[in-house]
Amino acid sequence: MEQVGEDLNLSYLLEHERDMILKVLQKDEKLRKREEKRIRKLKNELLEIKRKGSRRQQELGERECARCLKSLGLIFDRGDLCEECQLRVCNDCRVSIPKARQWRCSICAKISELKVVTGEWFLEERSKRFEQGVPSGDVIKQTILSSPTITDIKSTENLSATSEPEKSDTPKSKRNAVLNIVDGARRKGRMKMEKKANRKAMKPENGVDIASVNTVLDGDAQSVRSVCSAPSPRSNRGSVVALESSGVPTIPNNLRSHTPDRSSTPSDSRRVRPDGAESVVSVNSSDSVPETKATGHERKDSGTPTISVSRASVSSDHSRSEMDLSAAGSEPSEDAFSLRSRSVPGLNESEFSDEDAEEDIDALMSAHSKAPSRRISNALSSCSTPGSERRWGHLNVPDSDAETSSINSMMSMYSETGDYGNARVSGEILLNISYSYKTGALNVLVKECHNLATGDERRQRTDSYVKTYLLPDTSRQSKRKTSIKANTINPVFNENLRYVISHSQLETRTLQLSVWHHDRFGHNSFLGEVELTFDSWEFDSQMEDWYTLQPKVESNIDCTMQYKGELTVVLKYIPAEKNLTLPLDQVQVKKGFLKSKKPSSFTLPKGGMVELLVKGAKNLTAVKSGGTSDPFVKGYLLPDSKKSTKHKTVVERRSVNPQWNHTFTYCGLQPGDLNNVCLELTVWDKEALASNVFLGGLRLGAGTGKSYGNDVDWMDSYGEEQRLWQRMIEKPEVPHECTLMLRSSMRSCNT
Amino acid sequence: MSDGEYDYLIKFLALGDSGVGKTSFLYQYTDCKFNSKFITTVGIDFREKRVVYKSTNPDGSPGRGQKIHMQLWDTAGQERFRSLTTAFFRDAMGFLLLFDLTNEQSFLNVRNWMSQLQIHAYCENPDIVLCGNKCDLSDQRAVREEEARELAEKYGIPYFETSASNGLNVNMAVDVLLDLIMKRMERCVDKSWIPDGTVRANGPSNPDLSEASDKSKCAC
Repeated sequence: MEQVGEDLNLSYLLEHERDMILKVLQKDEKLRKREEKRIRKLKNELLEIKRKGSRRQQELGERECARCLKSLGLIFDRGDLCEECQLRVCNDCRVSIPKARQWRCSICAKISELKVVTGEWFLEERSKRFEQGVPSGDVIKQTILSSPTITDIKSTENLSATSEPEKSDTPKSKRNAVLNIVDGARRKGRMKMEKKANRKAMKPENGVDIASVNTVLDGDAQSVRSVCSAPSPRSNRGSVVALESSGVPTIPNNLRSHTPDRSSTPSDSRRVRPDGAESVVSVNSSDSVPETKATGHERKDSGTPTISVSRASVSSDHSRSEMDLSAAGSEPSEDAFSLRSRSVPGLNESEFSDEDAEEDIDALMSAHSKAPSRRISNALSSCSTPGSERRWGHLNVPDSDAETSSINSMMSMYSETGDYGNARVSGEILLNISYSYKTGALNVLVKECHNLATGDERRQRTDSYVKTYLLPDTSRQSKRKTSIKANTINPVFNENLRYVISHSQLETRTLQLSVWHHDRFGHNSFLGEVELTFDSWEFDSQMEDWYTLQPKVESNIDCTMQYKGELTVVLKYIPAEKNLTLPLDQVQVKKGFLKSKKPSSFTLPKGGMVELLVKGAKNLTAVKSGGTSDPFVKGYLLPDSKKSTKHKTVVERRSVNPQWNHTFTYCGLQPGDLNNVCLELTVWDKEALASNVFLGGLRLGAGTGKSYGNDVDWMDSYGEEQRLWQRMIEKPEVPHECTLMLRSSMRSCNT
Repeated sequence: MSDGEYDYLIKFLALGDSGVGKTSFLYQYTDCKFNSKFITTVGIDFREKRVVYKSTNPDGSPGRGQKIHMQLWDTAGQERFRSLTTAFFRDAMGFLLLFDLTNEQSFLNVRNWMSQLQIHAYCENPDIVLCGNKCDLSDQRAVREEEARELAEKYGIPYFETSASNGLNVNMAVDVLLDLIMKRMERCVDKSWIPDGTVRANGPSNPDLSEASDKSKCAC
């Protein structure tokens, strides 16, 4: 589509016009929220139907209705194949189409009904034309809010003032808008949103990209400097990557930091460099792509099953230490952590976790609301056991490669780890669950367990603790744990595990609560689990009940095994001494921050930095119609409880073999830190309507299981992940390229 | 009015030159009221209305009524808001393109608006209804009905002579647009239902007529 070269420059709006328009947009947002809620409800209905029927396909007898599992006769009531999903269903599970003699099975009918009723048809049509599905209202609002006005200019130093009213808005949509803007910026060049003097010109590029932002401002000069000045000392190495990203130490490429309300100090905006500059990298580093591809193939052909098996034997949900996360966050060695967190001042953790949650999850639905060609796969994926489907619906999309991880290997892994192998599950757990609208938090009060199985048979000991996830999110953001209660099968915890999450989000989640025996030396053993869904729960009521602990559902495992494709990265460590020249504005930023916050603890940033070029991925799982996905990569440098190290690539549209060529940079890392941090990369499929779908991930680190003296479960890099990290440490300044198998789950692989 | 559940959220957008009566048109549609005072729209606004849509079965009998929540975007016709208003085009499912029957220039500009739509709307051939507004002011008429009809025909879109002042054809125009959207919706889903249209081979191909959507379902 031709693009109109019309700049979206709203700075001409008068004060009262801005206000009026913002009011309208607010009204619109309210309507949209309501619509979102309605859609969510509808999708839950679909889930409900699916849950009732549908087993794994192989378990499904020929003569059994795929929906209600009723057995079918040979002559009478023999059922028939649904045209769409090709599954045999009985007469009761059909929905006939008015105006035609045709029918579909209840799920297929519901799916297409949803497509109409939710307006997804429209989004789908539009996505053929415009890349981004961000509502114009959000984009406009963002533009208006970031356009200079008279008031803005007066309060140049404090942007948060102007953006204050925005806080009340839905974080999601707002974030989207920002995302969009930044995405656009990548195409356009770089931008600086928060700068006071920013004149933002947005272009309806491809129509969509109203978001592309051009900036003409004095601050830009600085941003240019930040990118360009630093590399000079290193440019002789000729590394384009370095050139591009070096100027920006400790940049949270983190898009969120662009939203004005987050930047608590004016200087913030200076430090935050949007993804803008990466495009240059992409051009320059693409020459090595063919090479990458070659390796990729090799790997794929020979490696897949073997790797899965070997991984399997070591993988399990093995949380060696109770203290891991909280401890990692709270007492890491002063150096790295404080430096990092200092680099992003004013981040509000709770805000973040909420936002992040919204972003990544509630993806249950996404796989099913997809389009036609996926219908069959939908049906297939709905054939897994109900439990697993609920959790992994979006992960289980049968991609061709999934077949390669044979059932056998899964099984062997299962028994070997011994974790879930503990068949003895007994007892029950008393929970009190409530949701507070006021704080927007789900409170899971773990009261006590009763009559647990014995964790350590030999020593006749049970040291139990409770761990929870809000599925489908199994990342560490979603994990909560109680303390360990030593040597009792009737532990009393009375501990509250809290999740900040909007209730509409919560409706799509499942609380998975498992009880574990903590073994100081060996494997933790699984003592049982409970899963609770929230979609039919009255949020203002409290649930207090005893729940019987259940054995592990087998299907929980299989997703750690699948081949999810591979990711090619280039990793490089630049030691401190080589990294002496900091860009001028970087220093200024630090000083600015110093003034406003902690003068005493302030030191100039020093230490080396890790540069990660995310080149591309291959054979990602296709979750969208037409066998594609819209993948992007997200990275955290752990331990990073505040998510200040979050980086993201742009979304590569319609590709299972995307090329991002995007550099993530992490600064302030002393050589000693390298064995204590871990780079967690996850690949996601961007969803417009639902939340993003997890496609795979990996962790680059030393794999020691420890971080700054604490046991952590995320320090679980193994094999190639570990070796790459090692190579990086051993040979600093040299870029190390590597193609790695994606993990299909970010559960810990520790043994 | 906007309380309670609904089955569909349908978003329309009214566009056209400044002063042709977009706001009045929508006001008449949602509230059945008319205010002759000219208040220029600042950038963008919207109104809402709940209607019940009854699709007709092939045999002519009325289908199940569906509750529709309509969000009707009103845009400023003024040039200075142009970049703002066009940004909203892509969020709308259907368009009410208005011109003023007493103002020839506004009619001539229909062409421009059409090309704006082709660029900014969610697809290249969105559903549009052309409305010649202020038809109650017959003594000041500057655009002949035939010209307007001809233009509409050229674009293949329905045309109505409306009056936001007395309400003539206002509901009609919106209803027709709604009907177009509902049919398109079915078509979209239908199309995707049968992958690659293999089964469709013996049925009518669907972009031709909105009628096709009803029939094509029988192509089993």
